[in-house]
Formats: sequence, structure tokens, C-alpha cells
Amino acid sequence: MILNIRQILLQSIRSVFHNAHFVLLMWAVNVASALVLTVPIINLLMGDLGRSMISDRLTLGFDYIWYLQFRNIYSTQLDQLPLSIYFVVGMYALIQTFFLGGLIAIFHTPDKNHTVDFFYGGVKYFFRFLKVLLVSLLFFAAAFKINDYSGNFITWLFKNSENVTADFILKSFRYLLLVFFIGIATMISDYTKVSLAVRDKTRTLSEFYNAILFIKNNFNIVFVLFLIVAIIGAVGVVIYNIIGWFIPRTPFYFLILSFILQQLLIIFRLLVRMLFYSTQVSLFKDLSADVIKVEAQ
Amino acid sequence: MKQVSILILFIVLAGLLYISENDITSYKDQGKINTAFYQSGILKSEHDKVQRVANYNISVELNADRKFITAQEEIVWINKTKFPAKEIQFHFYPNAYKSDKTLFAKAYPINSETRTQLDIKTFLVNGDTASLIYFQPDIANPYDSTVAKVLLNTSVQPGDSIKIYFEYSMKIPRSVKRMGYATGRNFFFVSQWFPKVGVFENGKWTCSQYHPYLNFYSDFGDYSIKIKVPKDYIVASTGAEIEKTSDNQSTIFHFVQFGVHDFVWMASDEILHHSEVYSRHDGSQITIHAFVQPEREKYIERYFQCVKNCLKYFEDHIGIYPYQNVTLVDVPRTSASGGMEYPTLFTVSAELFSPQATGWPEYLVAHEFSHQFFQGLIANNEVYEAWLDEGFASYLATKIMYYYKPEILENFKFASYIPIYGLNFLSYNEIPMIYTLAEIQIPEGARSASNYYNNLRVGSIADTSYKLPTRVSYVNNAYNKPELVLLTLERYVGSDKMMEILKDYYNNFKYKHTTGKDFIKIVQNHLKENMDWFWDEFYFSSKIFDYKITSLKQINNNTYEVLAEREGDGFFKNEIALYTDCDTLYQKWNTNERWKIFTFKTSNKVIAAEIDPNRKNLLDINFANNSFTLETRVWSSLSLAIRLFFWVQNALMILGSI
Repeated sequence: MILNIRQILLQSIRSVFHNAHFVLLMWAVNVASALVLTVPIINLLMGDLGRSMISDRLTLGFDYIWYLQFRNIYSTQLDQLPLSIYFVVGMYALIQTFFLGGLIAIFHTPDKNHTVDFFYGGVKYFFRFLKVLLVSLLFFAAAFKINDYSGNFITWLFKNSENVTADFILKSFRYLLLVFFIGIATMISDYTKVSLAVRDKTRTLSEFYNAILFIKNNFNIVFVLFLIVAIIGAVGVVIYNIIGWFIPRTPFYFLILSFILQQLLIIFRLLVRMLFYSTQVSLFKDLSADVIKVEAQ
Repeated sequence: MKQVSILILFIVLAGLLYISENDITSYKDQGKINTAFYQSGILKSEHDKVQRVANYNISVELNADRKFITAQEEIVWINKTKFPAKEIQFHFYPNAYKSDKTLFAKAYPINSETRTQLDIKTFLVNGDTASLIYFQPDIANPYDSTVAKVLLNTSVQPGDSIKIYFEYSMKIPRSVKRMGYATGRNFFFVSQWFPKVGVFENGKWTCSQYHPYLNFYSDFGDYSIKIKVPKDYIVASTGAEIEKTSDNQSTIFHFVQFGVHDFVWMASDEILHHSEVYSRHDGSQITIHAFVQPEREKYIERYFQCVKNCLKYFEDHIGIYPYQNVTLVDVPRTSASGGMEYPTLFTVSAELFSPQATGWPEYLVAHEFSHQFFQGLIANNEVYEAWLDEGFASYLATKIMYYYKPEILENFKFASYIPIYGLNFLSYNEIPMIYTLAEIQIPEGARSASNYYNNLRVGSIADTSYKLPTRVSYVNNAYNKPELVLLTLERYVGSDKMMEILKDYYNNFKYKHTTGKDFIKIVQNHLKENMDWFWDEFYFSSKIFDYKITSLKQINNNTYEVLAEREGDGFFKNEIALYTDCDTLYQKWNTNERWKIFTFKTSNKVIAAEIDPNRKNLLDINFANNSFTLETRVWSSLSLAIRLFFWVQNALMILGSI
């Protein structure tokens, strides 16, 4: 290892800012996809509240009965929503896979800053990354299934016991495990993609294996770097929530301020996402580089 | 690393074992009262107001190891009617657990552990051996033996009595519903356990089978019950304890209770027993007993406070609680006996974490306590008209909750146990996926409204309860809709008038059987207006209420026209409000047209019109269309939509970035 964590971070942050204009593209896709899901609800809300005094009351505080009635009256439309969500999420994941190819390509060759390279990388790695996505889905499904079965097992274990505290502790512990599994699965998926791109390989399963080995052999540094970037993301969320807490609900122009703040957070989170890949590319390249000892003549 | 992992695992397991060994039985008595006011567990002043119809003298022994009881029961039944009785009918409710083919077994799993039946060894009528004929008065089912009758050689004439004697034994089943033992600790809840006489009224017997979900109907009487349990067990029961004798092996508790129509008991050797005192306005006192699971000790104070609040609310608004004791039994989580009411005793349970703002377990306590009045004292037939107890208990629990603690917040559970304040829209396997964190107050009646919206049409409140086709329709027409109807009635007639009505209902029908018609008559007695329309719309039918303001137009300088529509088939006497920048103008709409135009004259700037502005009719399914503003409103919709938009953006980022 040639670089330390600080150097990797600095280098990655520089690289992200160097390519920051791509975040606008990702943000635009995010906004467009979110609009597809939100517009039907906006229409329902406008139809329901457009001429209603409840609209005025909602600006002062939440009307729980209205919420219950809204859900009941529009249950048919709202019940359709999960189908739309699955479809949009699926499409969004495919577009993200494309973008990811582009991002890793440009992080891999930081000297270049060509938009063409971004799209070329996207196309080049799309099918390889798609395979990674499908295999990763299996990992995630397995993590959730393990969570399901362990929950059932704990319920069975304590079905004749009054020890509710132990039941609670074990069930909580299984959620920690789930978070851990998801984190690991995400890391494996990310490093597999990085490995496929950096080493320009096409055999997905083989690279999965290499990524697992890579993470296992360098777990501390991989995990610490992952954690640091995650903390940077969390700090942004905390700052957003603190500022958001002080923004009043009325008058209406505070709504615009709130919206701008939300979009800034989304853009920040997209940048953090880029930072994840940037650090992973840097770390992977650094740790998997062949070190040639040169003796002084 | 491996050694550290093993060490951590060991510490966790040791901790769990330590927690599991926190089993104790304790007794904390702050409930000594002056019993001079009482005779056989009821106020002396109330003694003569009760009819002694069915009187029971039972000795029962619990074999805790075998989970088995043996009993000798003597019944003295007095014919208080004007008609001779040629037969006596009995409830044999333990037989509901006899096989997987009984009426009760259609809703609850009956297997080798949960199966039981009354094994009757001796049955005597006036000292002579007699035989029982099992039959099914409500629903034909040859496997159901929860009702039986004996044909008498000589009729019991009005004013005469008859002596009946039973000797029987019964295995106590694993708790699947109401009666049974808990699997997690030594806890026996013994309800509907003894042969009980049906109700002879108007020359015929009313004696229903044990229906799943539905409760009971019996006559008032005098109970003297001796319960023998292993020495280290304590017993809670419907009665007042008058004697306790022990030897090396066992303890015999002797309870008596006058003026009740059922008797239930609980025995356990791992339970906390605390007692406190409530003083009535006249200085007489009630002992509140709380039998609580050791791990729920933290709830004891809240339980007591809630029972005291209930006692005070009823005393201040409706009538006094006349018995010497009121007993709360907090059941273990491996028991299915929780959330049930019996005379002077009710069962509850509580979650591991339940902050007061969730309203639990206080709501449950208030609901079950309210049954002390509505079913305990005013004894309706729960099989036929369940709304008279469940609906009233739901209504009064809500009134009590909002009287003492008006801030109850909507919450959802994270990982089964942790309450989070806010709304949960989508979750996977107890993990909230799309949710919002907020302190959202639940208004009066909202929880029932939520359930009511799920079943608007099936059945009416007036339908015979056991004939309702589904559990949802039963719950809706027994609990949710009646609560909303009673809240609507209260908002229509006014709170003070409503409490006057309930007070009168209580005074007229305590220690008596009642029907829906009786309550309707009492309501009418208090009002000048003929209320038939109200009962036609809300009680006898399953109409949907949806009033709407369709338009608000300015006709000329000072004249405005409001078009109001009745979109549902239900009719309600409404007010129409016209809001201006200076004042509010009102008109009445008391007729049942499908639509009507109301003309208002005002020189002020008009803002909006609204029908039912005070939300009196809680069964209106859409309050959003009750008003119409002159100018279009967009900001609330946009505000909600922007929040939703932001959630979706975040969800996409998480789900789409695999």
C-alpha cells in the first residue's frame, strides 16, 4: 500500500469535484424518476384539497382524520402505487448501473475529463455490471431471508417463555446483523464492479470471488474507508435535519426554501455516492498494484 | 478474535439467563379499607336493589401439576318471572374446547393441548339424579355441546326455587382464548368454567352456545366460592375474600360476591400483587387489586392511576361502582386471556415498551374497566346485542382517555417492540421503509373511524351479533361503529345531555338486563326532538354518510349561493357555515333532500362555505369535501407533495444504488 487513508480520501474528493458536473445528470434522472411516482399523488391531493378548508388547517397542523379518509377514499389508486414503485425503481437501477460504469471509468483514468469517456464506460461495463447487479440482488434477498428465518426461529424459541427482554434483544440483534450483511453485500458488489472495470475483466463470478478475497484481506482499511464516507454522508443528513427543524411551515415561501434544502441534500448524497466509488477505485488500484522494488545502483 | 467472539456470546447468554430468572411473587398492600359499608362484596345500600335469581355455592380444587380442577357446585335457581319453567337450561362453556368441530373451534385452534371438556360425574335436581339433553339453540352443529337442558318432572312456579347439584372435573387447557394456562409460567386463568344457568325471561329460555368472539348472558345472583390451590399460589377472583386457611400443602380461599352474574378466578405462584384504595365522594372506599407480571412492574403505577381515573370519571358522570373490590389481572404474554372483562375483575396486558403518549395500556384498562358498568352492571345479552357493551365500553374508554390525557400520538412499531411516533406507509418484515417521524395527535374516535372505513356496509348495529357474517363485520358493528355513533349522538345532543342520558340509563338498568330498545327509549325521554330518524340512519341500517359542498357562487354584490349535496345514502341534520373575513353565518339543513341550495346575504368578504363545521357526524367518510373555498388552495397539497417527492428521491437512491 502506497497511499494512506487521508491521501486516498483527498485524492478521491479531488476526483469527485473534478467530475462534479456528472452529478447534475444523476440528479436530473433522480428528479425525473421521482416525478413519475409523485405526480399521480399530487393530482389526488390537488383534487382532494384544492377547494377544501382542510388545506388551510393542514398548514397549521396535521389532520389525522383527513389522512385516514384520504387513504380510504383513494385506496384503489394508492394500492396501485407499489407496482409503479417497483417499475420505476427497476428502471432507475438500470440507469444507475449505466452511470456507474461511466463513473468508474473516469475515476479509473483521472487525468481525463471527457464526457465521451463517461458514456463510453457506461456502455462498455453495462452488461458486466448488470450481471453484478443480478448476483447482488441474490445476496440482498439472502440477507433478508436470513433475517426472516432468524426472526421466526427466535419467535419459536420464545413462544413458551415470558422472557420478553431476551426476545427483544435477540430480535434487535438480528436487525444489526441484517444491516451488517447489507453493508458487506454492498461492499462486495461495489468492489466487484471496481475490479471488473479496473482489471478490465468480463468474468463476473470470478471477480466476485476476487472482490471477496480483496475485502477479506484488507478488511480494516476497506471498512474504515467505507465508514468514513458513510459518516460524511450522515453529517450532511444531520445538518439538513437541524436546518429543516428551524424552517417554519408557514408562510408558503418557506416551502420553497425547504424544497431547495431538500434538493441540496439529494445532490450532496449523490456526491457522497460518487465519493464511495472514487475511494473504492483509488483503494483498489493502490492495494492491487504490483510493487516493484528498485534497488539503488 | 474467535476468543473475543466466544466471550461476547457467553456474556450475552449469561445476561439473557439472568433476565429470565427475574421471577418473584410479592405482595404490597395499600388497600385496607373499612368493610363496614359492604355486605358480601357489595355496598349495603345497593343490596336490596339486586334480584337473586341464580345463586352458586362452589368448592373447587386446583391441581397445578396436572393442570386439573375438580368441583362440587350447588345452584339455587329462583323463578322470578310470571311464567312457570318446565325445564332448566345450562351453559357448559368449557365444552367449547371439546373438539376441533365445535362452534368455537371455527375461530381458535383446538388440539390435544387446548382441548378440554366438563366431565360431569354427578348431576342432581332437587336431590334426584337427572339427565342432560345437549342441544344447539342458535346454530346447528352436532359437535357443539355448550348448551344443555334438563326436563323437569314438576315445573318451577313463579317465586319457587330449584336446587341443582353438579360434581365435575376438567383439565385446564393451554390458553388459546380466555380460559387456560400460560405456557411461560404457572398462571391459570379459569373463566366460564362452571355449569351456569341460562336466562329465563318472558316464559322462555335464552341460553346461547359459546360463539367465537362473542361473550355471555346470565342472571344476577349470589356467589360463594371456595378455591383450593397449592400453598405457594395466590388467587384473584370476582369475589371478596372472607377467609383464607392454609396447611402444609395447600391454601383454601373463600370468596363471596353478591350482585354479579359470573365468577372468574386466577391462580399463580409467580405474580406481583399490589393493592390501593379509591375513596368515593361519600367516604366509602374501594380496594383496587393489581395482579401484575414481574417483568411489568413498571406499569403498576400506571395501572392504578388509570383504574382510579375510571372510577372517578364514572362516579362524576354516570354512577358509582358499587362493589368492594375491582381487580386488574395483567396476564403473561404466553396467555391468551388478556383484554377481557368479568364482573369486578378484568384482564389486560402490556408491551415491553409503551410510553404514555401511545395511549396503551391505558386505553385497554379504560375499555375493560368500562365493561364493569356496561355488561357487569347493565347486563345486556352479548350474543345478541354486543354493541351495548363493546360499543359503550369503546365510547367511554375514549371519553376517559381524552378527559385525562388528551395527547395521544400516532405511532408504529420498529422491530416488533420499539414504538416510533409518526406514520408508517410501507414496511418490510417489521422494518419501516417509507415513514415519517412526527408527533401526530390522534383525535377522539379516529381509531374506530380507521376500522370503520374498512367495513362500511356489511351489517348494521341492530343486526343480531352472532349472525353477522364475518369477524370484521362483527367488530365493526359491535365496537367501532357504535363508538362513532355514540360520539356523534353526544356531539348532536351535547356532552352534558349525553352524560344525563347515560346516568339515567345506569340508574334504570343496573343489576338488570337491557336491550338496545331500552337505551333508545331513555335517549328519547331526554330529548324533545323525535330521534327516530337518528336510529333509522345510524342503528337500523348500514348507510354511508358523505355530505359535500359542491359550489359557492356570488350571485350579486351581497348574495351568495351554496350548493350542498348528500352524496351518501345516509341522512344527518346538518349546519351550513359561511365564513367571511369578519364573521360566520349559519343555516340548518334538517331535511333529507339529495341536494339543496342555501342563500346567504353578507356584505363581508366571503372566504368559504362548510357543511357540518364542527364535525358532529363522525361517520361522514370524507371531511375534505365538506367545505368549498372561493379561491383555489394549493400550498398544502404542494407541501405534502414536496415531502412525498423527497421521500421518493431518497428511496430511489437507496433502492436504485444496489
